Amino acid sequence: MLKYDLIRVDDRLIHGQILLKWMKVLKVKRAAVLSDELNMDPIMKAILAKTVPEKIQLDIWGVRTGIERMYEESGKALILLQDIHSLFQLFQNGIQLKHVSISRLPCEAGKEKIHEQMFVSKEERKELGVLLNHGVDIQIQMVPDSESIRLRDIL
Amino acid sequence: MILALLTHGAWGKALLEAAELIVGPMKDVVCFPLFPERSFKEYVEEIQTFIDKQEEDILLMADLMGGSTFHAAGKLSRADGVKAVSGLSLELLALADELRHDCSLERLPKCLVERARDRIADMESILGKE
Repeated sequence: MLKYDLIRVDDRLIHGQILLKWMKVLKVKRAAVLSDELNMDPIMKAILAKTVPEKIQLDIWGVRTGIERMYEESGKALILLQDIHSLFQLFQNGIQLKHVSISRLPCEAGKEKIHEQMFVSKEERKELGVLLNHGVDIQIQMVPDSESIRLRDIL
Repeated sequence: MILALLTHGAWGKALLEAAELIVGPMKDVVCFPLFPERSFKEYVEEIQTFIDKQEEDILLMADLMGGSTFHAAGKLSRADGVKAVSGLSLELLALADELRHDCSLERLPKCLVERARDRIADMESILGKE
């Protein structure tokens, strides 16, 4: 079973905040991205392969494959997910979620504002509600030094 | 040729103003600020829509390697008439403005990076130790 330093939901996946802050603070040696969209985007995969520091092992999987691999592999990784639904898929497939960190929930068509810079669709609200009811601790935090908001307090 | 500045937050506009203090009014420079509340997808779409409307060549200039602006520039740089560089600075913008008039889009990114490479310096390497 692949253990994790942190499960992070961030629509930008690997970007400045992850590379400059989270990976350093958590002393991450391995990162696994579970995203169907990224997995099917050869240009973005090529960019990431060249810009993620060489000493960090990077895996990019589709969500389904990623869940299987999490059961098969050993070691420890920073798990990166693109959206709430991917997080919910992990939960549905029995991956234990104790703490989850969300970077932000950007504004998109059909989403409702729940807090500054946080927007959810009906579906996401439901999925987050289920996770909270199962005792998953979900924090919204941009970088390790910035203010952290408990989702339970605003949803 | 159009220069498009892809920045984290609004500093592209301030950078453009600063560059104009040095080289005078600059034509065909556009800013695409990325703000935290916007989704990455929408940001890429906004720039794509802009690109689709242009007949001129476009050089995308991103401000942070590995950051979202860089990823957007990478995704968009595979289209005809579009190229991208990273490491946006006052130095790079002024250089790009100078070179875009006598350099083809094809050659510009390489020229820029070569010229800009020795424009980051440790002052001691210039002055020597005391």
